[in-house]
Amino acid sequence: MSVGLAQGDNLLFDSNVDVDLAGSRNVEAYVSAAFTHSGKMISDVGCVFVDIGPGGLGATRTTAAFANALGFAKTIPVIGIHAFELIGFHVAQSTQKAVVCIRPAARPNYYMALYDQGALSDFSFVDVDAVQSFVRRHQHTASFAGKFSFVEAVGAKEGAWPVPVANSASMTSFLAVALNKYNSGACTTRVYPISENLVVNEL
Amino acid sequence: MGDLVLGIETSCDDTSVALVDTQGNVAAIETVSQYEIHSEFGGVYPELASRAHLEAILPVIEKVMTKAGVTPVDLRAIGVTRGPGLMGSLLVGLSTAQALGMAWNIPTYGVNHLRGHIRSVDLEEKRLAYPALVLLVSGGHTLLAYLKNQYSYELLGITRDDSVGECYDKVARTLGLGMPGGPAIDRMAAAGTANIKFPRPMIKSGYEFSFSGLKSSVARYVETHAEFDVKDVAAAFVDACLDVLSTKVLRGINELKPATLAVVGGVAASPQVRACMQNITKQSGVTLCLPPQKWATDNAAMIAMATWDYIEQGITADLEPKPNLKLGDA
Ligand SMILES: [Zn+2]
Repeated sequence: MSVGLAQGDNLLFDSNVDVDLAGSRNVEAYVSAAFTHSGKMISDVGCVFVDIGPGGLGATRTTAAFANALGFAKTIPVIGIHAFELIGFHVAQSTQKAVVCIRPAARPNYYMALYDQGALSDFSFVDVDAVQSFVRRHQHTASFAGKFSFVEAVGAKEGAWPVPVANSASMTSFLAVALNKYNSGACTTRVYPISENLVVNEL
Repeated sequence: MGDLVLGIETSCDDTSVALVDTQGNVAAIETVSQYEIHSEFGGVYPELASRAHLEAILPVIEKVMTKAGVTPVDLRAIGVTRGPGLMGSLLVGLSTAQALGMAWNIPTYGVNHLRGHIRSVDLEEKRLAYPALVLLVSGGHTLLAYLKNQYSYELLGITRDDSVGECYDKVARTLGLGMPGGPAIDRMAAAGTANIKFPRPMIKSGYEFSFSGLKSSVARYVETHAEFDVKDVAAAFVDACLDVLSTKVLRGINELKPATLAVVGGVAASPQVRACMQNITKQSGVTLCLPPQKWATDNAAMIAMATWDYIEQGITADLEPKPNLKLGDA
């Protein structure tokens, strides 16, 4: 878990570098640390952004519940950010390409999507074969972020698989994506984590 | 400082929020049941439960506060269930409560759900005279506790396996009676004759319970008797359950000489359980306390009520979720 506090595009606090909460899952501890370190107060907060996954359901639920309640209590917007939008933005900055994002879901399935110039497409909850053909389809035009191990036999027959880029985004990337959303007029009061049931329903 | 506690209960499949004062008066309560979401799975499905809590919790809080005409300044504290319960469900309640406490600048307490059940007896009306014996029987729990006074809890025994309510539900399924199992079994049992002798697990000594053996014997009986009578099997099953419960309760009455016996939890709604407990207490001169059913099942008013104990006793506000919290833990 990580928490940041920013004023405009100035990142005032980043729990990844400013505090060591040693793997704590207590959101309140992170948020309190953000205020203590930055000298700001809860009443200074005008908007909350949250990573809504796909990711660990426990963590995304905890942070979504916390963010929604903060927004409710202070009457401020709470805006969700898709994890693949973050990763895509982060990876595209260094590779200057579209990004295929993949994350393991409940076995044996995966979440995947294509991030291209600020937009996500083909977000889905799929099996191994679908992931492989998706990667093959985009392998010459896109970079590839996420956790996925390819079946060697298939790889040998069809040529090497692309090398994945580490799949975590920095707080700076998070802030950039959040500001883009904010400036494009996004304004919601509740966020909900992306979960398999919903993806399946959407398909 | 306000004089109401905002209670939040999300340990299982109901999202419940209530406002309760130090006397146990309930200013407002709202409970959203997830029954329909889970009925197609034949049980509580944890992922869906936690998602449903997330969707329901803030609207329910808003509704309760509006209904009571209460703003954050009227709140003394927030009390939220931290266990026992389903991890994903507990986390939603705890995180929400923590954020509200932080934003409104009021203390937030993580509360033991079992203490809530026990304190539920005094909601709206002081009913419990001490020392007291409390039998908690529901789908989630089966326990017997001795209370020397309001603040002193002694766990006498819990179930080693299934809860009574779980056992009722499983037997109902075995008998093809559908959900919710408890009322269906009770109706059948009332029309049957208890002419089959099912085992009474752990009845001979102590205060611990065990119901999985009883459940299996019912299943075995049904498998081996093609022509069984559902009413008689239900009656014999209820008879065995009541025999175990009443024997343990009577043991407690004889050994500990309580002034009151309180029966709480969803299973306390069973007419057979009520009649049986009335019978025991009449014979032994103990006052029987059967609080209204709305307080006997999971609800946030009981959590708010228990929160007052934490405040008055200066118990630390531990907000870490504990799916296996025991009665003796804060
Ligand atoms: Zn309960």
